[in-house]
Parts: sequence; C-alpha cells; structure tokens
Amino acid sequence: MSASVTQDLSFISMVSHASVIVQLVMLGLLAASMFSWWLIFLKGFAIRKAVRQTQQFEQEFWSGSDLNALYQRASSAHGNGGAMERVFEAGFREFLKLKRQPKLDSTDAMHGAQRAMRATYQREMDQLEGHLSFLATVGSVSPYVGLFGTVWGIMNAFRGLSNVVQATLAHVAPGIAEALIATAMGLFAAIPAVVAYNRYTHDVDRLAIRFESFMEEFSNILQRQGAAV
Amino acid sequence: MYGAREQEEGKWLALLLAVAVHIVLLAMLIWGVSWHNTQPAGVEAELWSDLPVAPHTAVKQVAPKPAHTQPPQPKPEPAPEPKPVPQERVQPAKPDIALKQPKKEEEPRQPVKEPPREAEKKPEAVKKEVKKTEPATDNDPVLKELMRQQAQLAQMQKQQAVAAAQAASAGNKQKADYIDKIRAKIRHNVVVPPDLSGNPEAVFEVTLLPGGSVLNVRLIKSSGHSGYDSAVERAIRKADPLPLPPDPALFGDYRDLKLTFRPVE
Repeated sequence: MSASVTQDLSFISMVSHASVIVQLVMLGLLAASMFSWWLIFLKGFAIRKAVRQTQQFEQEFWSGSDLNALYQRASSAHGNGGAMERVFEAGFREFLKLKRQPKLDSTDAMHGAQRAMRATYQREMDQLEGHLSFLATVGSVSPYVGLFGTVWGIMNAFRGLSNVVQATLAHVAPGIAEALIATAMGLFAAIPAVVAYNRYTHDVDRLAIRFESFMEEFSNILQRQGAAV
Repeated sequence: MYGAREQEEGKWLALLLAVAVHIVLLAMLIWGVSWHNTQPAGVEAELWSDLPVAPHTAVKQVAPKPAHTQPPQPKPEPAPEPKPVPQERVQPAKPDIALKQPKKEEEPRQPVKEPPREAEKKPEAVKKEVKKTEPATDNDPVLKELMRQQAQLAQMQKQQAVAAAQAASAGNKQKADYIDKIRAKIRHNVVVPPDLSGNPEAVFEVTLLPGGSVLNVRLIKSSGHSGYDSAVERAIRKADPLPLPPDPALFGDYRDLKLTFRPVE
C-alpha cells in the first residue's frame, strides 16, 4: 500500500489507471471534441467565404452594372458564386421565364421571382446553418458526460478506500485526479463548441438579414423593370 | 447541392487543424500534468547514521576506551578495534556485517554461527572476539577456525548467562536507542523561535500507528513558551513517519511515546 502512495501521477498513467467506464467516457468525449473542432473549422471557413462572396456580389450589384450581364455571369459560374449570387440568379431566371409568357402580367412574374428567391434563400440558409446544432449539442451535453465519468471514478476511488483500515487522503487522491480528467475533457470539448456556436449563429443571422434585404430591394428593381417593359 | 461542394473544399484542412488542436492539447497535458511525489531519502540516511550514535556509545562502551566525544561525532574515536563503530551501530538488529568485517583481514570466508537473537549483545562480542583472534594468526586455517569457534562458543555461553540477567535492561536500551533516533529525527525539524530564552523543557505524548505514522500529539508539559511548543508539535507531525525497529512485534513498546524536547541539548 505504501508503495502505491508514492507514485508518479503523469497524465498517461492516470488515464491508463482509470476504470473502463471512465475510459469509455474519455474516449467518447475525445471523439466529440474532435468532431466539434472539425466542424468549427469547417463552418468557420464556409461562413467566412460566404461573407466575403456576399460582400463582393453586393458591391458589384450596386455599382450599377447591367442586370443581364450579371445574370449571365452568375449562371455561367454555376455554383461557384456566393449564396447571394445564387439567390439573384434564381429570382432573375424565374422573372425572365415568366415574362416570356404572354398571358401573365408583370406582378405575377414578380411574385414568381420572389417565390423562387425565397426557395433558394432557404436552401442556402439551411446549408449555412447545417451542423451548427451539433456544436450546440456538444456544448451543452459534454460537461454532463464528463461529470458522469468523474462521479463514476470517484465512486470507485471511495469504494477502494473501504478495504483500507487506515484511510488517508493519499489513497483517494490518485483516483480522484484520474476521475477529474473526465470533467476536464468534457469542458475542453464544450467550451469551444459553445463559443463557436454562438459566433456562427450570429454570423449566419447577419447574413440572413443581408439576403432578405437584398431580396426586397431586388424585388423593387424587378417591379420597376416589369412596369417599364 | 451547390453548398455540398463548397463545404467539401475545406474538409481536409479542417480535419488537419482539428487534429493539430488535439495534439497540442495532449502534449500540454502529458508534459504539463505530472506530479511526482518521491521523498528525498537522503535526509533520513543522515539522521540514522549521525545523531543517535552518541547516546548509544555512551551506554554501551564499558571496554577500555578513551573518552568518547558526546555529540554526533562517532568518527574520531581512536578505537582499539579494527573497524569503525558506526557501522554496527546503525543497524543493531543485524550485526552480521560487522562481524564479518574484522575477520576478513585474516580469512575471507567465515560462516557466521551465532544465533541472531542476541542482536543487542553482538557488538560487544565482536569487540572481544576480534581482540582474541588477532594474535592467533596461525598458518593452519582449520586449527584457527576451530579455535575461533571455540572462542565464540565460550563467548556465547558467557553472553547467554549475562543475557538472561540483562534481557530487561537490554530491551530498555534498545528502546532508548530508538527513542533517541525518533527524537533526533524530530529535532531536525524543529524551528526554534528566535525570541526563546533559556532552555525550557517541553514534554509531548505521541501516539503512533503501526508503521510509524503519527496518530496523535499531545502536550503534557509546556515549556512555558507557546511558540516553542507549537514548533515542536509541527516538527513531530513533519517527521511523520517516525523511524521504528523493523520488528513489528516490538511495536507495542512504541505505541505511546513520551518525548522530551529542549532547545539546546
């Protein structure tokens, strides 16, 4: 017993001495942390790119260039343009198609274009918001999972203590330290996930507002065009 | 549809970065989290060989010996015996080593025949033994061996007779010896308060657990200076575990110790 009291408490030995359940919890938390960090980087890249492309397109659009030329470029760059470009492309395509129908008047064409834009907008938003819920889940659940591992490890540590006549802190301390690693890992998984979730939802919301206001303004432009023709 | 391809681009880079983050974290944990609680053994060694010797020799040496120096200075004794004393003093429980060493000069191989029961008697035996064997440097090893064994036997018989009478006092001596060791280890830790005047005496009752851990410390007689009292009490707790004889059967004698401390001894 006295030999186990004076031992080295390195991180690896603590993990390897932990009980199976605690090790499973640690493994699960490591996987969750890995996946959430992967998503953090992936969504970070995607959202930054979307913001940059939106800015670029807005600049071009409001610099007074021809709508037809913009449409040509958007449809030729199929898919590689930004989200806002795709919203514009869908709306303008629908508007042009409907305008060719002789029976329909310009308000119908404009309503059709608005519906097409809203559909594209929703698809884009879904794309941008996808997987963010996973970050929220990791952020809220992994502390509890880590806590579970800790509680389990401490239970084991105290159960081992019942066999010892002379209960000293040195007998429980390594077990508790092992168990607390699970909490630390849970927090390590949760904190970045929560921060990233908050940040990304905020960014996506701002993008959504920009898209919506663009859609309204573009509808106005289409209405003016429809009336002019 | 379009977005799926868009996310595809950064996929591997993101994966790489995620792995990198975890590797950094793991490295930090592995190198950052390592608690080593190994105890420095050197302190104990010093205490065992050093301080307890002086009182021990004071009790033991009845042989014609120059006046030995009292404090922890066992070395400069001009001993009539060939080997330095401390070696056998450190571990009175196993004097085999000390017994062998003087003989080695004459003949290297010599089985030790004595029963290890009379541990505390041994050193004396050795001293007389050595004195006897030294002049008997013979050429015939068998004869010498016989003579030596005979001398040993005679010595043993004499000792056994004396041992019966002295058994009680010997036990006390051993106990006193170990109490000296315990006190020496504690005294090493005492930080005497600077404003202490005179040489007051503090008496503590210490209750031990098997293995030498301190269970309870009680002040029986205060030194009159509360700072010194608490310094000694702290030192007792710091000296935990206290040195005890390896034989657990003797532990009963050490369960409750009455220890006396003075700032200067």
